[in-house]
Amino acid sequence: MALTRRELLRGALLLGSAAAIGTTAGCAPGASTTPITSGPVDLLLWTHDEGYMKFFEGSLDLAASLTPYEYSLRSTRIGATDLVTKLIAQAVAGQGTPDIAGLELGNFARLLRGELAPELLAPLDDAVADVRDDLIEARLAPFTHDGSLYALDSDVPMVVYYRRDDLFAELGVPTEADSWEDFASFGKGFYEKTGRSLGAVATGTDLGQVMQIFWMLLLQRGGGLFDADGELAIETPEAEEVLTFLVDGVQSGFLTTVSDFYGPSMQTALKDGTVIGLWMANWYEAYGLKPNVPEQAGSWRIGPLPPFQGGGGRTSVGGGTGFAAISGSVKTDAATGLVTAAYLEPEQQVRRFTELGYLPTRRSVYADERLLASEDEYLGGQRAFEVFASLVDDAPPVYLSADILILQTALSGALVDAYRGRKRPSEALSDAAATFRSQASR
Amino acid sequence: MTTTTTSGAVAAPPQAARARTGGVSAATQRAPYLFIAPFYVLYVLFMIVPVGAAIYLSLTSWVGLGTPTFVGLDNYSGLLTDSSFWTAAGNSGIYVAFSLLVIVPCSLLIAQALNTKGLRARDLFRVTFFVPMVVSPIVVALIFSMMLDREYGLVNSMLYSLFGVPGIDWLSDPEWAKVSVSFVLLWRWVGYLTIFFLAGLQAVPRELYEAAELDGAGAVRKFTTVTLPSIKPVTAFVVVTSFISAAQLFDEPYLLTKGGPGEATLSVAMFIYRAAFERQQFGYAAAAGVFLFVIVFAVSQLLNRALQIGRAS
Amino acid sequence: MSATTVTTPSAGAPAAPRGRTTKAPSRLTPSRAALYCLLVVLLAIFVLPMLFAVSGSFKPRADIFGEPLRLIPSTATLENYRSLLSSQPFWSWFGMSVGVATVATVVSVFVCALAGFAFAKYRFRGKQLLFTIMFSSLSVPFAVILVPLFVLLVKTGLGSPYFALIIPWVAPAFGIFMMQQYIVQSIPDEILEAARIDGCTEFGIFLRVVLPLLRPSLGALGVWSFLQSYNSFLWPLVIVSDVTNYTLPLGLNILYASENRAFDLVLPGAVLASVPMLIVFLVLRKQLLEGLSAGAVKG
Repeated sequence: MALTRRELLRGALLLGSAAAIGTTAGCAPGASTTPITSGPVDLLLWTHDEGYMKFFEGSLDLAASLTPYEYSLRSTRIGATDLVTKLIAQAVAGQGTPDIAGLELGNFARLLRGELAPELLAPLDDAVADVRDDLIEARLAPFTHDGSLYALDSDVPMVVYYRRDDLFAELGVPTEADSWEDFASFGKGFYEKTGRSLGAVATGTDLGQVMQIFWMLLLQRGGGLFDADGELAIETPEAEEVLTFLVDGVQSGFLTTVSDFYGPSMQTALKDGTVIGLWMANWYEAYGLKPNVPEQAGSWRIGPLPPFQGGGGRTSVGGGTGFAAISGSVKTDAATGLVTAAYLEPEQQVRRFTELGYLPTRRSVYADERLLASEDEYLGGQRAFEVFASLVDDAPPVYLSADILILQTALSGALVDAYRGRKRPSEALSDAAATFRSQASR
Repeated sequence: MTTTTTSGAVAAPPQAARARTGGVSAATQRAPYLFIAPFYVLYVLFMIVPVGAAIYLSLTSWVGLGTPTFVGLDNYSGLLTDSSFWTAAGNSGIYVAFSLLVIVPCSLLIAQALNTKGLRARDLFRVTFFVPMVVSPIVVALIFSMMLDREYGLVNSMLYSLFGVPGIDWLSDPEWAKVSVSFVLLWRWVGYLTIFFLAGLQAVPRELYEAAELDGAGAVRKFTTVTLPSIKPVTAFVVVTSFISAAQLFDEPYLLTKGGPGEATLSVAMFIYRAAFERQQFGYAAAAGVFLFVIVFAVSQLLNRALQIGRAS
Repeated sequence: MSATTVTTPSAGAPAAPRGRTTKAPSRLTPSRAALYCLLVVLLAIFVLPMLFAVSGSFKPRADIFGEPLRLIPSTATLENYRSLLSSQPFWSWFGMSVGVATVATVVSVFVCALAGFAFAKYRFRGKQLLFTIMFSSLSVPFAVILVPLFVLLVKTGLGSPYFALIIPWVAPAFGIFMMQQYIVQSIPDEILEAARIDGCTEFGIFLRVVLPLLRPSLGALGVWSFLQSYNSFLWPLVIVSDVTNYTLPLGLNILYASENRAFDLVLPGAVLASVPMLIVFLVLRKQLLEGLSAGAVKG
């Protein structure tokens, strides 16, 4: 019987290798046929959110006027993580890949490994050449790999400080603190008096979120998880300073811990006024505050982040979703045309803000009078765009690494340990770095 | 035929019927092969090639696209020194122990209770244990994260108001997170296993109980002398498949804690999934998969031996 | 749903036997009282999360978590259901899931019973090896064969969702193994012999003698098999590309994965999604639980 099994295994191995080798060839469907260069073209879009689908559908006429194509578009919704998994699986199978894909930042990082990004995605450098100087460099960095740009960000996801203006006024909280440090020492006494916190950190099971809350302040402080070369950068004085600041804040009550910024715990905290201010990206108004506390419309305002005494800017960035054209298809050129038309035209950037709330990625659009004058009802009529326009030059660049999801596991555990006092900040960071290094080498 | 038949309490006169083997028709000889053919057809078509490919990939470094680079046994030696892998293996060990030592016995007891004669509202209780299975996984994650939230959760507020226990960090404390995952495991699996036991209990002849009652046996003795021996084949099935499922556990830690905090609840199956579909280390994932397969298969074979499953006479 | 909402009337009310329980209710002994207490506590633990989901599905988005302790919503609304059904192709997800799961269940219960019967009641050459091969497929971690299997199906032109969601999974080793064990336990050799003497073919024996005797375990396998298919996520994810062909888990997942985490659509979706499984359970309950008279088994 042992012999039979061995034979069986050997047979399986042979067959399997043959299959595996077979799969590696020809991941470009129809690579042999000539690319479509004009006329009607039907494109398939994959994204995780309906808002993008509507936006692209609304861009078809404009794209047709700027390119030789007549576009029609079909869209499929897939979760952000699943989208990349499925994209790769379809590419291996050699069919069924979309023409355009919306890649959430953290999942885009998965494509940085090996030659995935160059194999799957069309470089956009030529397509953006004309306007490159006007594009905000900080948002090109994360979607660039080996010097080529592979996706256009939908947003400059700037981080601001959200505050309950009504309660700030009533309880005498300063709206423009000189520094985070000052604000934290006020917040400590404020918590002792009122039981309310002026910020929150995530400690739940969404590991990306746990890391993101820390990452945003780290970026603001001038640090980053990775440096421009993709090397780990969490064992720096900046990182330790930011984490110490957060840990002290949690321990003093200035900050509170919540398990999910979009879910039950944050909703409760916002409703009962335990949290009356927090730092988060521009999209948090639409996806965090409005759905969870619609009744607080009019009471919220945004403002710049207090700066750190040690240095850094007054804003940060968090998140982002880049749209890419899939390479190797007869429709790649048409897809590139649609992505660039939909995303780069100034009018489109204006529309993206008014319809989806995403900030323009072209610097010049920040001077648009309509946007500057637009008032945000949820923010009590505040001219939110003015705030973002005043901060946009502070937006720090984000550098990714193919290994960012490894860091996410290691770091999120270490951060929670630090918030809970199980580890000192420096210890937490060096533990996370050690875990990261032991796993990232593969 | 199998040794289990004799212990299965169908009161069969041991192997008397075996005497028949004299003239077996060709059709009778062919029958079992035809009966099992569908499985092997599908096995050959859809299992051998992927498994072979996985074994081959385990010897390569592959990001999921492009040409795999042959690296020999590097992935395997890497696993041996990967602390994450051993953490995951340890956690999976805990899940296995918990499911065999707690969940399986609980299911048997619940099945026994539900099988009690004249139990009122029996249907209601039966449906109850089935309910967790029909709850969609997303909702399981959502509801439990609400109930177990440290600051705002139902469980902590009840513990506080009843016993003054301060907030327990059910999902983000490395030890409590294991407890929470285990609890959800219990919650989701008990119904399944109860059903298997119930189906087994149906086949225990009432006469055996009546005979035991005549001998003056109490509930406990009836359970140990009649029920347990009678349902041994089913129990063996439940034990072996529970072992295999627990060793390959993925859903519960993934839903509840994403393997966190850190890697405190990471299971081996999650480790494999993470390597393949988050980190694009397909070769490494395949190696871990082969490793898991070998261990699970070897242990389940031992269990089979011990429980006398599928042993040809 | 109705099954879960009737908790209150019957739970542990010893004095009021409700119509359909047994004819001769036994006296309430202390041990029986303890049993009821235990079952009622367990009932609360098991059903409460589902009740939260049901009650949440009737609350406006802004109240879903704000008042998690209230089982009765302060403002109940059908709006969530309405917007789910009008904005998403929910019924096609539903139809896809139910259809696929039903076909897969019917076929696999039959195939597994047949193979289990062969393993349990026949002696044949190579049986031990064949059993081991079959059994070994239980231990294969799905994540590592997912991509190769997908590529294989697509390359051979078998990647259509209807084929790929059903056919590769209709002979699960789990079911064969399960059936073998139940047959070993519950079918005595004598009745097979008796049937052979009566001139039944082997397949005839299976159909007329074995299957009827297996009812409880066929029910258990049916429930298992339906759930396997109905809840699977990873495989449909790679196989199905068209949103209207999505299965329920895929559909609910895209709602959850959207930027604003559409809990107000996920919860009603999940509640509706649980209905077919409850129906399956209630339909198979008879098979599963009423059992057989001992006489039938003894043949």
